[in-house]
Amino acid sequence: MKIKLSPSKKNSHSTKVLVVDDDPAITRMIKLNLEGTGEFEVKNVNESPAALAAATDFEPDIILLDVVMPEADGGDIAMQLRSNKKTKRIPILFVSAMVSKKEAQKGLYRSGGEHFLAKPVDTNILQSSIHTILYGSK
Amino acid sequence: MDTGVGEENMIDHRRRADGSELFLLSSKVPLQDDLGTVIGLVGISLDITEQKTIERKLKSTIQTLEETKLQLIEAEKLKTIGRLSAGVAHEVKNPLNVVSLGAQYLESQIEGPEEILEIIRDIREAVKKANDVIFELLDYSSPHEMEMEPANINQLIEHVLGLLRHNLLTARIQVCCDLDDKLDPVRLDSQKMEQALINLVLNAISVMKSGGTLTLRSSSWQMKTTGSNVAGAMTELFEIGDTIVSVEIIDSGAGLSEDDENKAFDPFYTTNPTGQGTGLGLSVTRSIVDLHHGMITLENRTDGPGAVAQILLPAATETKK
Repeated sequence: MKIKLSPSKKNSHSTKVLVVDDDPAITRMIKLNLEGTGEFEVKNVNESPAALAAATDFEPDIILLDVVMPEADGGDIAMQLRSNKKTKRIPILFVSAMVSKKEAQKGLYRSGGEHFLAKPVDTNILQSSIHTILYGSK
Repeated sequence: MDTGVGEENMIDHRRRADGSELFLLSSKVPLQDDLGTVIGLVGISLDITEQKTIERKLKSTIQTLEETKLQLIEAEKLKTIGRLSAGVAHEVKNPLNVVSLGAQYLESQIEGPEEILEIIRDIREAVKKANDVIFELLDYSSPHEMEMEPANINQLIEHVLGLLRHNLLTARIQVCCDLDDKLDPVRLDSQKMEQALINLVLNAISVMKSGGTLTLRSSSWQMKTTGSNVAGAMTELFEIGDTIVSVEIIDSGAGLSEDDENKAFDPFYTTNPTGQGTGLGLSVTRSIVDLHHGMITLENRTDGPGAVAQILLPAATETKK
């Protein structure tokens, strides 16, 4: 059986996304999926304390931030990013496994002024959520 | 005359003429003549029946306390599982996320053959199902306020049967549903009422040790009579003209003993061996039904062996409290 591959999409790298999650398999999959759309350039960070430096260097348009991480959790990282002159305006999308069914069914939702998306992430919903946060709607 | 070897502080257990028990604490000495022949007996007895009765009661109370202690430990274990479930959910959802995103990526990169795409879709569907199970666990274990809204209780029954499919299959129990498709809606907290139904179905499963049939029946009717032909609790809760929604969970087990009928809804009352159930299920169920201004009964079936648990709830339009 031969597997037919889709022709690869041209990557215009219009939107830069920084993904911070302690699980390398998750960040790798998000990168593959988002870059596979041809619309995103993705940088991954698996050690949360390195997130601020990565954000300063990479200058992403948006940061996808896991909530529960061993060294510094998503809340701590968000505070660091928002207290830094260079990164304070970068929108953050929290991606969390600790979400109720009701919240998860909403797709992108807001809580305490923050944007949230439930794990497991659907690439189409992730893509449209990034559009909504950055441009208001898709 | 001499005395033989006596007995001291012996407990004699006897029955009185009326059949009641008698306990005597006795000390006796045989009287012998010069040849050593027993010619009499000298003794003293103290009636200790009351003391023995109290001792027995105390023993039984201590045993009940021991069992209750074990059941409390079981209940505490369940609470702990509830608290742990959030962490478990997190640990399971991360790998699910990898599988899901991996399948999505493959789906986006592969054009065929169709069998491969089918497999990828199956993987995504399986992830979705596993994720739903985690949500159920999270939602079930997380405390929440009452959220009352009109709902069709048939849907809850079907959902509960779906959740307990594995338990029913393992216990070799056949399920019969007799659900009224024109059932009036009921104002309820779906999650709490689901918990009540789960408890009742689990209870029914536990009494059908070698398999059996579980029947779930829903119906609604208008209350037309009051007084002696209607249960006292019903007349307190419902008035003539009220529409009542009924759910019956009918098992084909051995039925209820008199003790079961009297104590089934008492906290920590269980017929299961210690360690298999907390004895809290039916008590929690009754509290949930009470919160919905309804009533619950558990009685033996009149049409054969087994028991019927019936929940009566006011239809949505009738809820006035």
